[in-house]
Amino acid sequence: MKRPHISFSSTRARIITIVLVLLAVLTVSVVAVYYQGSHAYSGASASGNFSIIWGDPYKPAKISLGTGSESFTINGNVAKWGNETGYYTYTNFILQGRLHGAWSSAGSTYVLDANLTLETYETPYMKIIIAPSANSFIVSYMDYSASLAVNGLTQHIGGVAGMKAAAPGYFAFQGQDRSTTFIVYAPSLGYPQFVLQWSHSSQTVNGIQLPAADQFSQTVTMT
Amino acid sequence: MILVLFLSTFFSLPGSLALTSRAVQPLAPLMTDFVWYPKFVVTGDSPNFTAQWSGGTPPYTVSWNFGDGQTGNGPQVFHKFNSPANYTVTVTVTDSLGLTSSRAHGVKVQAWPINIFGWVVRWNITANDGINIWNVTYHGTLVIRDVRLTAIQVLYSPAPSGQPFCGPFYDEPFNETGVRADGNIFYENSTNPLNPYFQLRAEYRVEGYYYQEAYRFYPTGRWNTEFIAARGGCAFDHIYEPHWRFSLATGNYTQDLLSTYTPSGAWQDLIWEGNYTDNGFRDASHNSTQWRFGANGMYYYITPTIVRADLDLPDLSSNLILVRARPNEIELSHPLVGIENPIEFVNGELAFRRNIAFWFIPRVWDHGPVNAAPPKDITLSFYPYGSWP
Repeated sequence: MKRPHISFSSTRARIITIVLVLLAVLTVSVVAVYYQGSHAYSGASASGNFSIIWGDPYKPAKISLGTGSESFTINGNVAKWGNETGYYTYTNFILQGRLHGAWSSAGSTYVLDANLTLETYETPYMKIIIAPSANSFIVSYMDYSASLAVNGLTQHIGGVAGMKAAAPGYFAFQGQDRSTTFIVYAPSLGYPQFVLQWSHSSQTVNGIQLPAADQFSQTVTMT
Repeated sequence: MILVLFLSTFFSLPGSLALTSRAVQPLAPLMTDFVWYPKFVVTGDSPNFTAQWSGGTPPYTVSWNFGDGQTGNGPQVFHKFNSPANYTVTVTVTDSLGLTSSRAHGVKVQAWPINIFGWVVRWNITANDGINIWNVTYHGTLVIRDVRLTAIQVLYSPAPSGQPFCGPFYDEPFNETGVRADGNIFYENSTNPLNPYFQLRAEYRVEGYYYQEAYRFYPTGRWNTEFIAARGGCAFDHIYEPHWRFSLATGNYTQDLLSTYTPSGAWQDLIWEGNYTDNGFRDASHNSTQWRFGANGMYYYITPTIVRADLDLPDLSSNLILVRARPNEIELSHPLVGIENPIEFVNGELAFRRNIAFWFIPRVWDHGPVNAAPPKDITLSFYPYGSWP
């Protein structure tokens, strides 16, 4: 009886090998594509001069210049945001932010130090959206705890805060250059709020002069 | 025994003598205070008074003097005030040794219903609808069946393909996360003797949004409702839409008709349920009047005044939505208004005897917290019959 001869050099073996290789490549590609859209790092940092708008929101705001720094990072999984091409929203995340600012006005000095956190979306007001192509992102409402020293007298405050790190044209930011904005709502102080804005370069936005920061970065990376 | 005394002294151990001494000496001076809720008190209310104390020697007795000739006992009491006045309420705590500590607070009790300038105004405030006014009369004539600011819709400028960056939200008046500690409802009189009025005002915060609403009553029979949105919210340009719901009365007339001003200079009655947009036509003799309510020459003119501080943002039209209110209506919302999850009255709060109601939805742009502008102010003025200025 003639036994069949099976050889790796046979055409069938070559085809099987090629198919297996293609399958492997396809699997790796699919997995890569899947994970490419599922994780994102978002970060913003700045130091140096900033513009601050603060005071009772029922009255015309006070505007000053100050110096300080901010550092803000978000790591986590993201999903497409609605039907928006190029926009994503975090589904779970680790968010860390620090804010330090000092300014003076009308003979008084102010120093604000804040820790910003958000663990999960607890209300419809909370949302994190990123635009990786523009290295821009926003956080609509997070928690904060802070100390505010007025003329050296320190008080502790807490509540909700928001932030926007955006290039012009993204997230309705109307400037000419990048800016990172923090909004700190302080109900325990009788409704004042603090809006601190660092800018990549000197510019005027909504009638507010934003000075150039010494150091400034905004990054959104999908992996 | 000698050994015990020796050891107690030498090693500073607490001995029986020390324990005996602690039993007769108070650990700390007796300190007393009290709180009450609600903070804003009107006649007929029975606020809850709760005593708080520390130190002294238990057990304690707690007594109250409410300043109106009435007294009470116990750490927590309810007391009803029957007349408006500033009362001095005093709590006294007595410990087992006979030591006493007292604390007094002024408790302001306001009139309810409000009776001023010929107006009689019944009102309450709830977590979802803010201030409600109902069965309001002017010199004995029913003028307002029910008015309330049911919600404030907040809409944000959208992303390129239309998705809003935040919201839309329906912020519920008074469903706040933080309020002023000393109360956030105010009875206020005009400080201008040439323009006297009384207003009932509330302020509240919803997340980062700051709102006020007020009802203002004038001696002439004119009245206003006002909405104020302070600088705040998300860092986007956005639109505030206060949603007012009105059920008004036209005195002894049996017909309630809403009318809109037309390009031909005539007033056209609105008969069907529907959404009527401010078309920009104004009654020349009553500048900026767009709608009126009433019949047979007895009209209320509904005049919106919108003060927008961000003048670089465009004007927006207002909408009036006419709906047919059912007898004994309990739903505050209507499909045309777009509020989901209708909010309902508490049982029997009020009943409508006529079959018309309308919503008024003005809109105003805002830059949000990232500018220095003062608040946005929307006022609806209602001028009484025959006294249009």
